[in-house]
Amino acid sequence: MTPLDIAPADIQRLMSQVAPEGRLRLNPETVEQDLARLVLGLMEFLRQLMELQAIRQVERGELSAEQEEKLGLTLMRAEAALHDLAARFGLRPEDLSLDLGPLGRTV
Amino acid sequence: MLGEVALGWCEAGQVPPTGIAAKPLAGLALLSALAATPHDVLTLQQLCFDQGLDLLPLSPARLCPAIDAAEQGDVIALTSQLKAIRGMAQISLDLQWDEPTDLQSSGRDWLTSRRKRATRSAMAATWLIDLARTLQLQASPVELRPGGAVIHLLVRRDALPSTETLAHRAGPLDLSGARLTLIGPWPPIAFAAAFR
Repeated sequence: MTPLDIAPADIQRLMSQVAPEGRLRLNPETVEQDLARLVLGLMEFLRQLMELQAIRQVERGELSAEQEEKLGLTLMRAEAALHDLAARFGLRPEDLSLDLGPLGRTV
Repeated sequence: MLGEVALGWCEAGQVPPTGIAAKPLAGLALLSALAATPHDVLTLQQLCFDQGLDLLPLSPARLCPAIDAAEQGDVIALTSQLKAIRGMAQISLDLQWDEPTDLQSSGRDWLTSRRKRATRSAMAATWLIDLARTLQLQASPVELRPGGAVIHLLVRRDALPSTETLAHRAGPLDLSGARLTLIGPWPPIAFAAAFR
C-alpha cells in the first residue's frame, strides 16, 4: 500500500476552514457535542480519504484479493465505529460533514 | 441561544418583515433578529426572501463581527454583490441514486459497493455541471454526496425553471434509477460566501 499523499499546505488550509483565524467558536451549552463533531468530523474526513485511496488501488489492480478483503473490512468497521461514537454524542453521520469553505464540504 | 444575529445585507430602503431590525450602515442595511438556533436564522432569512427582499445572507454570526467586517471591508464590493443578486434566487439540484440498504459482510463487497457509489457521485457531478453550462447559469462548485451530487444555481426569481424543464434541457443522458430533486427557491446563500 502507498501512503496517503496529503501536502502540509492542504492540512493547513483544512484547519483554517475548520477554525477560521485560529479560533474555534464553541457554545458553552453544547461544547461536548461541538468538540465531538469537530474531532469525529476530522477522523471521518481522513477515513474517507483512505477509502478513496483504497478504491483507486483496487481500480489499478494493485491489491491482492486478501489485501482487498482486509482493507475493505477495516474501512467498513472504522466507519461503523465512528458512527457509533457520533451517536453517543447525539450526532448523525451527516453531522460529521465539514464545511471546507471554497473547497466545498466533505461527503 | 444565539441572541441577536446578523441575517444579511440588503439595499437601504427595503422594509424587513416584522421582528427583523434594519441597521443603516454605509448606505446599506444590515438585517438582524433574535434567534435561538442556526435553523431559526435560516428560517428568518427565508422569510425576508419570501417577502421580496434581495438579501445577501450571512451565515449565523454575532452582530458585531458583521458590522466590523463591513467597516473594515470593501463596501463597494458588498454593494456590487448586492447588485448581482438583485431579483435573483438560488435553486439547488440534488441528483441521487438510492443507496442499497443491505449490509455488506465481506470487505471486498463493501469496497465494490463504495466504488460504485463513488462512480455515481462523479457521474452526477458531471451531469449537473454540464446542465449548468447548457443553461448558462451561474453555479456553485458541485458538492459530492454519497451516491450523488448537489449543485446550486443562481436563477431569476421571475423565471424559475421546473425539474422537468431542467431534465429536458440536459439532454438524453442515461440516468436510470436516479432521482432529481429541485429545492428552493432560496436566498442566494451559496453565492454569498465572500461575506460569510
